[in-house]
Amino acid sequence: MALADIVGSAIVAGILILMMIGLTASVSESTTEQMLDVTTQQALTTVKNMIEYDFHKMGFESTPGTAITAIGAHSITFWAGIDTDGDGSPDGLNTITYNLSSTSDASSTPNPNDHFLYRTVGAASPVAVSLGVTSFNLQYYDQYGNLTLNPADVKSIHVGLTVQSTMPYDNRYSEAAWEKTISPKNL
Amino acid sequence: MGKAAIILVLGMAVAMSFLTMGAQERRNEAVANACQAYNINEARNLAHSGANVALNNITTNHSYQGSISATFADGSYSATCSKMPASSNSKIVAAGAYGQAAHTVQVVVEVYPKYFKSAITAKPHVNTLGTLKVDGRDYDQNENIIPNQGGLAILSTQAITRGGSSKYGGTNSLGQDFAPSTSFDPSLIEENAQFDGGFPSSPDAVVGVDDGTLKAIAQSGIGGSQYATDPNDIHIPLRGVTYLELPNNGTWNAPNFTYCHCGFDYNSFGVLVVHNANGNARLKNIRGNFYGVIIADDVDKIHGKVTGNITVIGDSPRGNCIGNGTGEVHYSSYFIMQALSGQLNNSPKIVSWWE
Repeated sequence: MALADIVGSAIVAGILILMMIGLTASVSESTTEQMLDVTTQQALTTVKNMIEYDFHKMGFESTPGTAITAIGAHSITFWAGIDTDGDGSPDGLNTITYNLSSTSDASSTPNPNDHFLYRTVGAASPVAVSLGVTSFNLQYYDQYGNLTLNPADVKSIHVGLTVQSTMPYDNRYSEAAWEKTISPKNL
Repeated sequence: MGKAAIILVLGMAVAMSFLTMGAQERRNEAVANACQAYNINEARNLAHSGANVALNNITTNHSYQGSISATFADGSYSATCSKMPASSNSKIVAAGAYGQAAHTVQVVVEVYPKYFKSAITAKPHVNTLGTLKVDGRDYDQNENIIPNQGGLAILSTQAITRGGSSKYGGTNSLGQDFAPSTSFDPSLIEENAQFDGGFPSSPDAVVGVDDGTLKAIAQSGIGGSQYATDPNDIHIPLRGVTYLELPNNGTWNAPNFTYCHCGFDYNSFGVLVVHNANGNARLKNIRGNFYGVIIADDVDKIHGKVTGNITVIGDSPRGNCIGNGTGEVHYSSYFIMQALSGQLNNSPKIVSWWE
């Protein structure tokens, strides 16, 4: 075999190996980003399901106008009939409070933008949802679709939720958002 | 060199396969996540559809009970509707399924006003004597008993005293039926009953319509309705809304509510109101057969048969008892609903919606 063949083969092999390393890095980066996106999306779905589960029960068996006791741009307290024993039926009435913590509460995560979303049922201790919630915005509408700040007038609630990955990749946080206007039947 | 090239190429292929599989797996998870959210939403929509179809059935037919279901290409819904015992409510349980997701909705519907969940509903104390029979079991249009869905015998905001050989029967809140008996089950009566906003002070409030509605319907004469201030102006048999407005402390010594003519009996139906502004108009000595709802300030001595409900809204009965003879009061959701339909346009109201 001529020396030229050996050198040529080595060059071709080198090029192939470099291409392979580049491709691997690229695919690996893409896979990692996808994994972060999926994880963030799953976190969003989890929080969204929890919010929908509770908000649709708002005002169950409550006197009209008294179901919501406090409202804020990032918090709400309301009466709801929730299934505490998992039998598919309501077990009495409880107050449920959602409120967003400051970012400092979630300082244990690398993401500086995320908060804890606290969910409190009745007199129980607040349960912190630590899934990278970066915004939880609430707007309240009366029966005519006008914005209202009076809890007794609220007929529908616009929920805006944004979740970011708690860990960055390449100094970037994956993000997913959900918005919905919920009109609980019992309000 | 040839072997090395083959190993190199195969290695690359294997590495690429793993990377591709990993990427595909992430994509599948993303798609599955989106699908799950979509399926949950569709299952909820299907459950709502089932509940709404059942609600429509109740609106069309207040006595409606039963099951419905529908299957679509990728999902289905089913709903059951049943009357809640010792209550004026019906309950709908609707389930929707789409893909792997399922959603359930429970709706409680007030089919007719809450004051009609017993054979006798009274603001004052209730005394029964003689052989009066008060039966809260649910009697259908043929006066057959529909099991396990009736109401209480007597409900009062004060005390209930059974005396003589009077008997109470009915359906308790667990759906258990009891035939009338002197040794009645205590779950068939409710003493010191509480109502949100207090007990209604007017017949209109009992029925759940605006003040003056019953009187206006009676004065219109529609469907055989009658309005009178003199009992002699009331014609039997009764139909539609009959409104007798008596003077202060007035008493209507009622005629036989069954009109006999040419060998045929014509019973009375509808809503009968005996009331005045002082809340002391008395309906005395009920005889014959009446089917529907009687609302009076004071009911004194039931000797006939009332199928539906009697509601007493006055404070102080003048007689010593509501019945001391052979009278019978049968609870009937059918005749209550018949009396409240038509001009009163009593439509079901959603009490609660749980999902």
